[in-house]
Amino acid sequence: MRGLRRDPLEEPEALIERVYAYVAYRIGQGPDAEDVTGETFARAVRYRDSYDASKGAPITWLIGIAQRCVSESYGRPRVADQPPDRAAPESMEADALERLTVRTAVAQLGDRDRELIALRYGADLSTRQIAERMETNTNAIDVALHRARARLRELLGDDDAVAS
Amino acid sequence: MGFWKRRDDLEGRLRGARPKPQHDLVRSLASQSRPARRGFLGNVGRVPFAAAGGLTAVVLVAVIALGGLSAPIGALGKAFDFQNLKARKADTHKVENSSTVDQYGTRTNVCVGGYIQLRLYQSEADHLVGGGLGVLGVCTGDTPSSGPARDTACLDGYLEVRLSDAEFSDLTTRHLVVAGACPRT
Repeated sequence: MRGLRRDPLEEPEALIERVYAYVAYRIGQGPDAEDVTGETFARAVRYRDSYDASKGAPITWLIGIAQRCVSESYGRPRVADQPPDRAAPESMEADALERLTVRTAVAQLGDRDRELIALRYGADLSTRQIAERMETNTNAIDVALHRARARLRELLGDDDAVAS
Repeated sequence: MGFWKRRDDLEGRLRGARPKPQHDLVRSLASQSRPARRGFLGNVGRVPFAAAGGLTAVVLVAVIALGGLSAPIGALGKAFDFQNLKARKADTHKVENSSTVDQYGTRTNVCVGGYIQLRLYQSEADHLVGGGLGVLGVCTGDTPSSGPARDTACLDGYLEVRLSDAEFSDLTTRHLVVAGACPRT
């Protein structure tokens, strides 16, 4: 039996932030990410009646749309942004530098690793939700995420001392 | 311990570096995405109605399961029978059609054939009595039958009455009524 019909966009603000974070981790922050996020929500509004709550939470449905939008707009992986200059001006706040450093490292990851990181830490999906989206099991996602983090750690520097 | 701490640090850094959309974008997309109100109650109004409907169904099923509807159904059946009986009795001598039925005025008792009691407007009563088909006042004779009133007859050319078989036979034989419905004019 189906429960009460639920509108997937009832509380859109939090969903917009999560979708944008996913897209920005995938393709980089800025106007392109905003465009893709906008396109994602335009499609979501158009097809909101097709949302089936029994198949997953609204965020997983939206991320599915966002993934298609990203692959349509950015079929080929983008060239990663250059890492920031370690000798950035002192006026730049430390946390801003830290964010930029992490995002740049994520952008240097391979497509699959970046996708996993974007889903887990951008869209804030659980490993189970990611596994459902990728049609695999939770264990495989845990292992893949562990490896992606290990590669990211290498990019950030072994001692994690980039931001300090 | 060091491994877990380091992993947590990286996860914290990834969450901390999570890209955030500009407020304008969030506001704009939210206003476009928010569901339109459906009906004057919107989605909020449906839940109590659905819950009330569900609760009613559950209570009804429970009452039926415990035989709690037998008394109301019995009472309903009796009421129906009573109504039917009343209708049958009323139908026996009910005037079905009259061109003057909508006229205002006081009604008077007229007796046809000694046992058919009618209440007619004064003009109708005068016409009927003048034609020798009835007498003013309450009937005192006994009806030849109290069977179902299923025969239609026409009295005085414009008053339709429903009669039992015995009444119909008696009154047509006495030429007080004519078999069938009155001619429509």
